Amino acid sequence: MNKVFKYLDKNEIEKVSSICKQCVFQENIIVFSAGDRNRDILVIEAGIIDVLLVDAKGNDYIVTQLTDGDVIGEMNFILPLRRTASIKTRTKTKIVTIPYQDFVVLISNEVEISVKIFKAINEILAEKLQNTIALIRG
Amino acid sequence: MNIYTRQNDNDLLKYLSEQEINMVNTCSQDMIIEGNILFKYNEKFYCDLAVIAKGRCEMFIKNSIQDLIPLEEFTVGELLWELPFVMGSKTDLYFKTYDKLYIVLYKKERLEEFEKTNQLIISKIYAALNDSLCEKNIRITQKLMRKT
Repeated sequence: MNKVFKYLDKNEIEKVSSICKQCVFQENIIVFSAGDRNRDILVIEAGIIDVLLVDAKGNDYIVTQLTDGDVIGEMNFILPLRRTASIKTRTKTKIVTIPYQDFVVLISNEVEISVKIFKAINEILAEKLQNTIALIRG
Repeated sequence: MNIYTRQNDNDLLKYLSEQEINMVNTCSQDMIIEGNILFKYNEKFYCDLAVIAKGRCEMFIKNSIQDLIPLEEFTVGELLWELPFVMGSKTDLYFKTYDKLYIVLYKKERLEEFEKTNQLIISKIYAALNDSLCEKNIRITQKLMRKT
């Protein structure tokens, strides 16, 4: 299930889907790299990806794995940041991309959709924050 | 996200016009929390949001051996308690005040009424929450990275 769309009804999903792009990546493909300037939201429809950071010696290490329904890039969508990690497919992966510019135009004109999208993104961000706090707690 | 423009220094109401702020203020409540106390969020509040009007406070968590670990400090205009507001669940967050803390409290159920009565207002409030949660995610992740 696409967590970004969780509050949208069928018609609203169709509207948002009309601007989305679907891509299939083979395994071991870098979808984007840390430092890239891109504010699209990506949702994994099927497959597994690794989220990679670089250690002090310049070697990649896996921070986490994401799979069906997981969302990537929601923070870049909210704040103008560069990508903070690299994303590499572990298996053949189908990804839905919600392009930043088109999405901003759509939610600027559709306030009801904006409410539902922002609410869903708040939940994704809050869950992430709670997980990070749990790691600090140890 | 380039949809709304900041209008003021209140991190929750930053995208609202004067007229919209007046509407939201009908469901807010001024509160004073005594100075120099430590309290657990969910023993004092339930899923409410607050913005600091005067003073400062610090957020802590307790680790497995019940030591307090400082997470962040908040001051005037900053938003408190997005996590319980959004997650609607128990949180084990602790807050310490130094001097008296003056806050404006926004009840969850009153804010959520705007989903039915004024969607532009709640869209702007949720957008502000997006921003605040993003910034906190970044700062707290940096803290975690420093720790590891």
